[in-house]
Amino acid sequence: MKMKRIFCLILALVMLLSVVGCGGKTDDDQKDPNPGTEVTGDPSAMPMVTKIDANTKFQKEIVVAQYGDLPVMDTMGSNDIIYGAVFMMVYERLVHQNKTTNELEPELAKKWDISDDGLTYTFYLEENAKFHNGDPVLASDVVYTFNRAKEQPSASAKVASVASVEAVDEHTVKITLSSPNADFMYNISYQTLSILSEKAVTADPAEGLKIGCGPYKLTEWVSGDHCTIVRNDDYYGQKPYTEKFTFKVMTEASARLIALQSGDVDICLNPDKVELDIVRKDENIELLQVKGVKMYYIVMNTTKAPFDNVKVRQAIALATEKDQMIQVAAEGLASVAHTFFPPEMKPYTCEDYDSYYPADYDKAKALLAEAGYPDGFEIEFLARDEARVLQAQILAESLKKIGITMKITQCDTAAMRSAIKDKSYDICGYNWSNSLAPDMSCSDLFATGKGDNNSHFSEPWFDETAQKALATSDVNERAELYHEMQKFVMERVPLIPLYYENMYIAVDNKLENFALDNCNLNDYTYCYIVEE
Amino acid sequence: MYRYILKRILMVIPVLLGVIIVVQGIMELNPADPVYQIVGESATEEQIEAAREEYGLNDPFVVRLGRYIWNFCHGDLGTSYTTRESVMKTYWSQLPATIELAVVAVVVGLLLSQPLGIHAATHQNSLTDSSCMIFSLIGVSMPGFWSGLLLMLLFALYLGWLPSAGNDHWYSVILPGLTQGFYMTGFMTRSTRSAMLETVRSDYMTTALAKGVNRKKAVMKHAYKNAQIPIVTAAGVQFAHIIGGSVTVEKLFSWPGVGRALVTAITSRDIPVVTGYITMTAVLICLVNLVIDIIYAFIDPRIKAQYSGKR
Repeated sequence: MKMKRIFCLILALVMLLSVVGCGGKTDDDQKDPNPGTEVTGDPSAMPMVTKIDANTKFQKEIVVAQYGDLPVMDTMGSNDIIYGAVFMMVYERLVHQNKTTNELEPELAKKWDISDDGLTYTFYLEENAKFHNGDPVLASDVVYTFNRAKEQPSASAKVASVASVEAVDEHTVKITLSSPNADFMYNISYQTLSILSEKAVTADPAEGLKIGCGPYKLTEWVSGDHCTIVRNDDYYGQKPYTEKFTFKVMTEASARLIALQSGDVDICLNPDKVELDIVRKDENIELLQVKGVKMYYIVMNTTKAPFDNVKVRQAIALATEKDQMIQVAAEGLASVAHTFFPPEMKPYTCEDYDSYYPADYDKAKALLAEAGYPDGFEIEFLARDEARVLQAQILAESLKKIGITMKITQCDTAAMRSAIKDKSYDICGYNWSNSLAPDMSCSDLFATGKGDNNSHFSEPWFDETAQKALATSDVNERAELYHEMQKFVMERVPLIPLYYENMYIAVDNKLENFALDNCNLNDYTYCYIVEE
Repeated sequence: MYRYILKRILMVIPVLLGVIIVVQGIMELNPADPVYQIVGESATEEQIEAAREEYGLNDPFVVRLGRYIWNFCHGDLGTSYTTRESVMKTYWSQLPATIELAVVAVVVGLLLSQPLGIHAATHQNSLTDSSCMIFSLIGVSMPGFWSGLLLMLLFALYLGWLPSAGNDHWYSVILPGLTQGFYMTGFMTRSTRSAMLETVRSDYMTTALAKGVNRKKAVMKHAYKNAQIPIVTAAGVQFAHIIGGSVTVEKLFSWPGVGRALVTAITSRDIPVVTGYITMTAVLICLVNLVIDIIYAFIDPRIKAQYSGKR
């Protein structure tokens, strides 16, 4: 019995010591205190290889571990970019956006003409392009795709200005707009306007939607598990180097990183921020980072008191500590957002930063008093994930200083969307992935009645000016209009831009010919790993 | 015996009705509107209304419930709001992975727990008994996501013996099975020890030993066999629990099972999937319980006689 008591005591001591020994940073961990130093603004995070030896042997398969899955294999099913990479490789659009130069390049349309009034676009299709089932890509398929897009909620906004689409002949398509749209070409380069086979989709929608005409073809998709694409050896353009890509759904960030380190996968999307040091220290893998254009923001319901008062919104903006939020919620891996256009959207970004609400609690209190709330009020913040909770906690502490009590309610995305749509929410955190086409980043967020206008902002001047800017083809004139709109919106501050999160990805250090995209829409088509 | 089995199968029907009503009722009470998950964020008011009409979301709750029960009786669990696939089809495609995980976990749990529990019971209050109990305490206390990560680090990263995630090879189930099995080992070790302690001290054991029966033989043939009822019950409960969806393990190892899909459906308010999956889980749990009851009959002849109505 005595021995047993001594044994139990020793065991308890050992357990206590092991708890004390857990956690804490080692000296090694403290050697890299500033994870943001490696970020460049250049979207080409890896140099693109222009000449490859014909005798090079490439690894046959590249496996990508990603954090989520699409519910349906339909390019028009969602605007989510989770499968953007797959859509880029399996399907083609009329034009393609070069992410390095931001210019539009031919894809299925080898050339195009735009009428002087900007209303008629004529596209001349590649004659050798074929769908993966062997059928040629015809003008009628483009007509079908655009007509289908009009019916799909996730794609209809991109073709809202399209009045008619007509097949002039087998390889010529004429698209007529109802009004000039300077972003039209950017809109049709987006994944939701990937050209589909009319014959295949009509015959069997479920399987037909999986047929594209790109350099890879979809061979297997198990919802929630993985997606496999193989090289299309009948592709009319440059053949890719890697035979097969498998996109595995691995929702757990640590598991994704372990899979990369152990060699089970070659690319790990969105490693956890707290594990980036592990990536940096591992000699076999590499961390790529680039300044992103995904904006995190706080949005207020402008239809509900007290947020229907602009002075209240301005007061909250003046109490928002963005630098703190970057350090805490983004682990320092972000840059401050002064406006809802990122710096990469030059010349449309208005760089008049001084006027955009640097923290000033005295001014905030004064504005609240002017608005009729000298004693503050109570509000509720809806937060859907850990980053939003951290943002809310920092905001709550700041708002206390000006008399506002903010309760934080955690909910999931469905509950938050519902509260936004039925206008019952007060304030919440959200994010927006900019596409570098200015109209989408502007009117989608603030034009009256738009689906992504979460603040329910409604100003006739803004709506008219947005239409005017969209119809203006001169870049400088457009830029001027967007500057005015940014100032207009930021004075009324229906949302508070917080930061632009860096895009980062962990890859096998043998991966070559890959450039990380600042919109997180990576194109793996021509990347490869050389076999040793 | 057959009458007993038929009676048990018929008793599943009111259970399923109750499950459907409760699940649909709970989903209905949640204020989030599923239509926004169907059409996405960019939909216009007209598209939202059209989706509501298409999916019958404008109908009163009672009408939707009645329609679901009617379809369920015809083997139709409905269509997922998000994937547009048949719920029955996706459930059956994911269930084998969950059953595979459950079987491996149960096998691991039984293989480890039985020797430990028997040894602990026959050497009560000894050092080995304490060690077994500490081991079982660690097993039930250690969270699955932690033990799973440790196993993943050891076997996948440092040793490179096993894959870290997915279900690409036959041996992919080892790590998630071990993770799930650890908890079961801890739980079953204690159950086995408790059951054995009762039978080891019983009169027939004393008689057997007094008559010169070898101790080991007496323990295995008499004590262990009579301790099977609570052990089988505990194993069945654990198996049913895993069948219901071991979400943590499935998520960590990207195991394509039912649990992971169910959590995704709950967060996206995919009511047909949630209702269908939970209802089918209820069916499976009822069947597992029935199988356990049948196993009782094979273990204990008195129970078999009871089922046959002879006692």
